[in-house]
Amino acid sequence: MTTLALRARTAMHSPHARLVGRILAVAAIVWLFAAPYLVGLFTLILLSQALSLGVLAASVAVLGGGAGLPSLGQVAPYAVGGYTAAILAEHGMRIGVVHTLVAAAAGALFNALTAPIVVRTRGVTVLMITLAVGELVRTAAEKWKSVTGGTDGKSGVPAIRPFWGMGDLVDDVDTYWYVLITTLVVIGLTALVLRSPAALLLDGARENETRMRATGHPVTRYLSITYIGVGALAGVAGALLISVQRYISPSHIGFDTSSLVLLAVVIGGGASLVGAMIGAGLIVFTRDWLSGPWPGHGPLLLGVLFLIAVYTLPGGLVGLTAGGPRAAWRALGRATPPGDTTDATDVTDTTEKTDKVEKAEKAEKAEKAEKAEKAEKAEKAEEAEQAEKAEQAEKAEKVTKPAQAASDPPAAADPQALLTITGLTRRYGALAAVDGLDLTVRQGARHALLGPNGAGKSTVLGMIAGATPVTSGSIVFAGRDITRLPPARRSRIGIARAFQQPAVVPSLSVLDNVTLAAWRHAEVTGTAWRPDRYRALAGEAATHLETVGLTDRADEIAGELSHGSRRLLDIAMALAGHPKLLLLDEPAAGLTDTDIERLAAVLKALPTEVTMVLVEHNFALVREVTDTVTVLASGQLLATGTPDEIAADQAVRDTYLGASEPEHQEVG
Amino acid sequence: MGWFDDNFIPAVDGVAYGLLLFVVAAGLTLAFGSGGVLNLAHGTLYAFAAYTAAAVADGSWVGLALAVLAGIGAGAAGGGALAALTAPIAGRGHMAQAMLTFGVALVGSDLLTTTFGKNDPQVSVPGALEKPVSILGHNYPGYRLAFIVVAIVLGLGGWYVLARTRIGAAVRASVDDPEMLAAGGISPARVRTGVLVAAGALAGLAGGLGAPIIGPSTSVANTVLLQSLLVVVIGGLGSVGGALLAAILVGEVQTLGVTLMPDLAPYLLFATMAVMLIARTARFGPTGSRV
Amino acid sequence: MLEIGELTAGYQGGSVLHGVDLSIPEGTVHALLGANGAGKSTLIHAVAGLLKPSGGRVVLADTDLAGRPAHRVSLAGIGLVPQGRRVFASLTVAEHLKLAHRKHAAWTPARVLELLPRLGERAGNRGSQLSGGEQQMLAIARALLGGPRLVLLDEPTEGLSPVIAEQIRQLITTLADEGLTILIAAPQLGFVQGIADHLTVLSTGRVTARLTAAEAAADPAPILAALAPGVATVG
Repeated sequence: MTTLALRARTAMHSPHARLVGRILAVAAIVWLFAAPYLVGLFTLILLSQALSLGVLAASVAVLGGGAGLPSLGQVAPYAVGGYTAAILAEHGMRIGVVHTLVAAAAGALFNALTAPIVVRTRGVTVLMITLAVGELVRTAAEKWKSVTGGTDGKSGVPAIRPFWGMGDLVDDVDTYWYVLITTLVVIGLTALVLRSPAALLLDGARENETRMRATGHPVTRYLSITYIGVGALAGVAGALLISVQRYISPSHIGFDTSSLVLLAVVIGGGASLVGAMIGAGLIVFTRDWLSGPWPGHGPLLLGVLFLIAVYTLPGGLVGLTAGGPRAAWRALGRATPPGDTTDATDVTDTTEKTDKVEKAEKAEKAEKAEKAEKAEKAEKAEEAEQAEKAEQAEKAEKVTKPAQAASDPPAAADPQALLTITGLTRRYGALAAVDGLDLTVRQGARHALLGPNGAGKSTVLGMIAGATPVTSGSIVFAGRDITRLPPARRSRIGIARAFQQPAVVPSLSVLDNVTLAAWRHAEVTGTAWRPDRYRALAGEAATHLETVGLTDRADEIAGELSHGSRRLLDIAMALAGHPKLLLLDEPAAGLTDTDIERLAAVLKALPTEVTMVLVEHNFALVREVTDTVTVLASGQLLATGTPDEIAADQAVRDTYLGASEPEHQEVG
Repeated sequence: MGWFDDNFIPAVDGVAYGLLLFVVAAGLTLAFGSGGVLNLAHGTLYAFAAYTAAAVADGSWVGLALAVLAGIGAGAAGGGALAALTAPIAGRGHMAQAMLTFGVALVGSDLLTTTFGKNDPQVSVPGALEKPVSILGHNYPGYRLAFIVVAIVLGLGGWYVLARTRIGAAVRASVDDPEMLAAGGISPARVRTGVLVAAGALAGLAGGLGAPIIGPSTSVANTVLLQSLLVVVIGGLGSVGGALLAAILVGEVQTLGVTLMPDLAPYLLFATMAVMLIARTARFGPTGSRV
Repeated sequence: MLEIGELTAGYQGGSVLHGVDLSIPEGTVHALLGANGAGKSTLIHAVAGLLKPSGGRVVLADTDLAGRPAHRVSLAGIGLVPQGRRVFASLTVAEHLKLAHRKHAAWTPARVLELLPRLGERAGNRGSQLSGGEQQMLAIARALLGGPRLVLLDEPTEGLSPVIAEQIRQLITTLADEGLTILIAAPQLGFVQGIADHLTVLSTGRVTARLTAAEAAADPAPILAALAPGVATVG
């Protein structure tokens, strides 16, 4: 198992990207150490500037490519760090190490203050918010004259000394050494963090937030920690700026710097630290090189570089937003602009299947993909449908009410109940998708929810899992009212969910996916920082792959699996939390017959401690794996009984099966 | 009454400022909502128009008319150029397009200083509009009052086009479902281009008319972009009605806020945005989508 | 009217349709049957121009439309009533009609409202405020107002209750009686029986059976077999 996990780890970090990154990093470091003997003084000063800017760029890269929060506002903690260092030096504290640490703390503190706002946003909104944060700090630097020196800034900052007992950094070569060493330490530490299992948490948060929350991960906390961490990194960059230039003013922390840094990251290709550093170097030197023959046209050059980068480096941009550096590399390799990572990777499915099965799967996938797009719209439409059906369902309900009352005793009184739903209602505007539903699920039950499209089945599952807010009514799970509990907390008390569209983290390996799902439920702690513990957890998680029969696919990239395998992985991820209650939303949809057989076997083999609630249209599967069936119509309960009773129930046939001409088809 | 007297002028000023931001932000939110482009060069279009207006305006009515027309022309041309530049990468999502417009903004800022120099030009308005107008016993700059009237007319006109005409219906339909618009025989690409041209024209119009209010300077592009982004964020991405309220709010914070709380004013805008975002995400979850 | 020849299509390199031939004479109703994933929607999308076919022909009255963008296909005379209805959520019914109406089209908003008075009652309501049945009527009205020579209907009763589904069926029958050429994709035989003149069964992207209405009525077994492979399904 351990070797399996090891292989998975290497598969996760695209080996190609890693190798290139390492070669570049080693070559760059060697050259940087040789530089004082190879290049002139002026170049060395530029190098110092590039290193300082590179640290800032690295912070943007981690935030954008790692956490998926593309920022134009990292100049804010950069400025805070820079001014802090300048003020320290003015007040007689001139020890470089102290500067670095205090600036890091100041930057982190600043980002901790703005985190509650920034971490709430996603996508282009992040750009806007962070732009405003940066501008806020620049304004403050201009207005708060007593502290910042206003528009003139702080000039003539006294020289610092790296450590107690060392000499002042008056010489540009000494300064270079100081900046180089500090940069290498800081970037090295950041690289270590990014290579720890904790980086997987960011991958998950960036690529499939819903799934992460559904498996108990506090995504907001991860993003906040990252945001605060990159604040420290930017703070250090600010302190380095002071040691190089001994001067800081609002002009250092404006829009121009933000754009320079973002460009460095775009050129560097997303989350790559080395890429960001090299990008920063390229920009600093190109700008200087062109300022000779063509002075004063920095922005023009930057802008043109931007345009070139956007058109020619789709990978770099994708790295900022969608798939991280690995996806970016893969995208570059294929030279096709990936729209949706999931779909783009679908077709590279190279598994050895019989031609026929593969084609069938692809066809299904394609139709499924189409449906996914429309799902949201369809849902709304379905809800609208309710109004129409209400009357009809009311009639039907009258017929079956007596039977229901007998088979479904008052919920609270049932000591065997694991899940008790009372008066559950979800409204969208005037329309009730779920309308006053009472439902009891026994401990150990295999309970199916049936009903025509739009009956509110998925909404019920969503409310049990916590993804859909409850309008009124209550949900009691294992004796505890969970009506208002967030999804991540529900996951941790034993509610797991498989999604209608399989929810996996596409750029990670199959095993990493299951391990992430098991993470918050395992007894081991410290998984984030201890690779050995992560491997142990992966070994344990691998048993869930065995359960669904995906063991031999453990090393494959989840986004490249066929639809059926992804579905099984999704279920394995739900099982990895050792749930008490497993919610499955149309698990058979889009599966081939072979996959359905496997799915049925998996579900039948579930231990009795796991209670299952299944939404499914495939009645044959329902018959095979469930013992209780509840039929919903128009968000209300229509009938409850064994699968056979339900199949024989005339009211159910009329309302639900009637639409599809059941006389032509055999049930079961 | 004293408080009212003291603050009446800044409050009216806030409305003028806010309506100017609204005209700019309406273009921004339209381009994003319907064209899918978060246009970070939107402020640059304003700046171009404002500089052009300053160069053309000579204090005569003809000069003002020319300035406005030149502004609209420059903005529309800029919008068209952006549409053409972003078209090849439209399938790559919002982020790539935003980055592209960012590059355009940088190039534009360089062209601005090359073309118009680094001095902040003075903008002349027709004498009739320069005279202060007395309202409720207060003297108020005539141009700003006139602008308020023009902006209201513009807003109503824009609302009419969006809400009542076939073209407006097509624009809204392209937000809902561009494929179905195409299936109805209308090219979504053409609608997108049209929207971006119109959005650019709005920025240009704002620059032409607003030059005496937010005048041309080397930093005007960034200022206008930032403040209209704030308006869009506070008002809700893609919502024109929300943008109107947010624009007035931002305008008041910028004017009334400066009078009442001069020390805090620079941070008030940010605080407003923070409060709005927190209030909204508390209700609807994280704002914006991963693209 | 419509000749589809050797049509292949798929998504991002993966092929879903493998050389489909289909011929629809003017004034007839043609049913396209197939289980989920058989490629019905892919075919409809390829014909409507929403998906670029990788090969083959889509000839409408002597003009090959294969590979043309959707709005050109629409202008050439193919109307689409898509799966899931896809009415514009923020447009009112009246705006839908105004936007969709093309000059010289045989159908005018007035004529549509005569046929579908329900839409008239809901004229001021937005697409998102309509029930599923009303949305379906609106989607059909939207297609008609473009003045199509051929209408594509993709699973027109999906998610509708039996009563509403029957109303939609009546509506389609009325349109067919007026001589409109129709291609209708459905997952069940029941819905199209009595409407369709010809039936084609699609299975994993290939045509597996072609029947006339009479043949299908006499022996539906081959169709049912194709629609319910392996595990029989209900609903």
